[in-house]
Amino acid sequence: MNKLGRLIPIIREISRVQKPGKKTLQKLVYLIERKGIKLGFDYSIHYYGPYSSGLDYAIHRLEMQGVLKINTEGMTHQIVLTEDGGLIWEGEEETLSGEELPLFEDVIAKFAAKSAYDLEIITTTDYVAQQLKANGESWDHDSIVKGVKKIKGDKFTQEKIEEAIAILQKEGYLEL
Amino acid sequence: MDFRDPIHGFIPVRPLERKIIDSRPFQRLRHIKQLSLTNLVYHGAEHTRFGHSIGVMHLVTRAFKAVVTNKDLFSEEQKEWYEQILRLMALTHDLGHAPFSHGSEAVFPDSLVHEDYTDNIIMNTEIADYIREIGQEFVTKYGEEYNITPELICSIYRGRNISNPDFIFLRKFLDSELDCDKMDYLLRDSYYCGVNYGRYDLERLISTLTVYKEENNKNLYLAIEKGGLYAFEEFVLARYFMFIQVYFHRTRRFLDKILVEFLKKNLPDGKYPEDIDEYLSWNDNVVWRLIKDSQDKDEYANRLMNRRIMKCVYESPTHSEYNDRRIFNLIKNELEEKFGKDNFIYDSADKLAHKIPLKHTIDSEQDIPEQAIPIILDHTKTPGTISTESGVIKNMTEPINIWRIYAKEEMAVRAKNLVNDIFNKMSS
Repeated sequence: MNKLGRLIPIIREISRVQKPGKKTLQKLVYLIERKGIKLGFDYSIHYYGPYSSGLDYAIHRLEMQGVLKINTEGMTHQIVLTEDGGLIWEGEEETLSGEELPLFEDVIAKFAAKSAYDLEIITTTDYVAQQLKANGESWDHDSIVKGVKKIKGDKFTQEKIEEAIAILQKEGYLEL
Repeated sequence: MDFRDPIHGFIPVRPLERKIIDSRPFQRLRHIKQLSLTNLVYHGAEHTRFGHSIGVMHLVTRAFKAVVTNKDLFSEEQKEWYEQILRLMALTHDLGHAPFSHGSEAVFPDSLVHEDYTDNIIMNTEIADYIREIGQEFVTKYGEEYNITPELICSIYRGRNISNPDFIFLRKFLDSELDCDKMDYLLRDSYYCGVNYGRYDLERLISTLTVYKEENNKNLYLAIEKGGLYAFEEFVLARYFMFIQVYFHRTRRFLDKILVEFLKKNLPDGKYPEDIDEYLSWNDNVVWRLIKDSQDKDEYANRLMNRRIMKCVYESPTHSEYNDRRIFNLIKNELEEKFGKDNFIYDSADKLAHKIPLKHTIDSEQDIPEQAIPIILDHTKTPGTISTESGVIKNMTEPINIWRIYAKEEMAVRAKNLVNDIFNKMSS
């Protein structure tokens, strides 16, 4: 799978909505993969939600190839596509398939404008639900809330976690 | 009992851990070289994943003890339990390596990585039984919540365990910019290669490891005291030098490249098997036998057997930028036009000098501080960052990014002349 090539159109579309930081990009790509658009990144749980070191490295590889720049502004690393798109822009970029495109556009429309804070709780909630399911544990509403609180402590209120569950249900990520 | 190790001296091993070491999957690691074919460049590099795995177990124990001793972080039971979990994660973390370690990972079945094989071996071989035995000892001693299972070890190591935020912290000892895997392999690889590039002050580094606890929640970060910053800088630099001088050595890269090409042609379906029993039958010796048997009919096998190295006729700057890739492409096209495609092999090797964010706040809205190493200062509760505390690491921002072209011996001189002509034209 051409991970880098598939990542380019995704970053381009996200950049039309906002200049993403690394955190925003991680969370949006996670949500895109969860919709069934396979990019092949492996996510582990960190304090700030699901995180893929492979995706982080892929972003740096794209910078090495001149596709994007990672600008350090203040305390953030902001990802900006270069004007000429680097050398692999033309030949090696891989467009999403006809089946994938509407799913991808839906994620962009629903989530790309959200703040990194909101994306953190939404993706963490989803990750917790998926792990509970994978482990064969109870994954009802209360178990998910409890699971998120274990990881997040008091960072997010009960209401905020419930709001995340509602969004995930509405957008087809969770069926409780 | 103790294992005598050339890097760390005597390494204590507990009786039930010994069962893991004596198992077939672990003994297989004696036949998987740590550095692939590097022994054909640095002849001392004969060491294997076996010693490294035991070394990491030893270091992770030392590091964890250094961090938690005299701190009110965990109960005594928790400390004992976490330490055992870490030891088992360390001991088993490389069980899934392919022959020649990273050197032949390119022929894994689609989408599999060596960690997937590790999980499979831990959960589906005798290793699982030995881990459960250790878990049962803890259950007997402290109760069911202190059980250790193969699934627990795998889920913490892969970062998929959501049951306890402390597990995120434990994982940092084995997968972070300050992890014991790197601490061991730098010293071990340096020792066996006979180089000094990977050496650093291990004792100082371990003695200054500490923890940063966020005020508003329970998150724990593996951190370093300000006094250990220079040992940490040395550690980061050691890794950088090892990549440039050893891991990305031009001859080693060439050998790994042709090993992969050989395996693609000679393995069933061009890939290692997914089945774990079949996979475990593969090691360096088995591949060498295949190479030996094929040397008269396969060019790559012949090159590997007889150490026939194609000549490197172009090498980009160590920190090449994308304009350098334009030059690489130009040279590649001209060489192929003049001499034909089949006479050349191309390689690119890249690595970040480090992944530590230069500036970060621990709870950042926009950024990801997952790789942050907080630096604990005497005068303030707010930890320092690399940006404020380390001029050396702060300036190591350019990734290693090397492009190479190797030419067959018979046209190496002419190819090299053509490369020189291209550069002369560009500079005139």
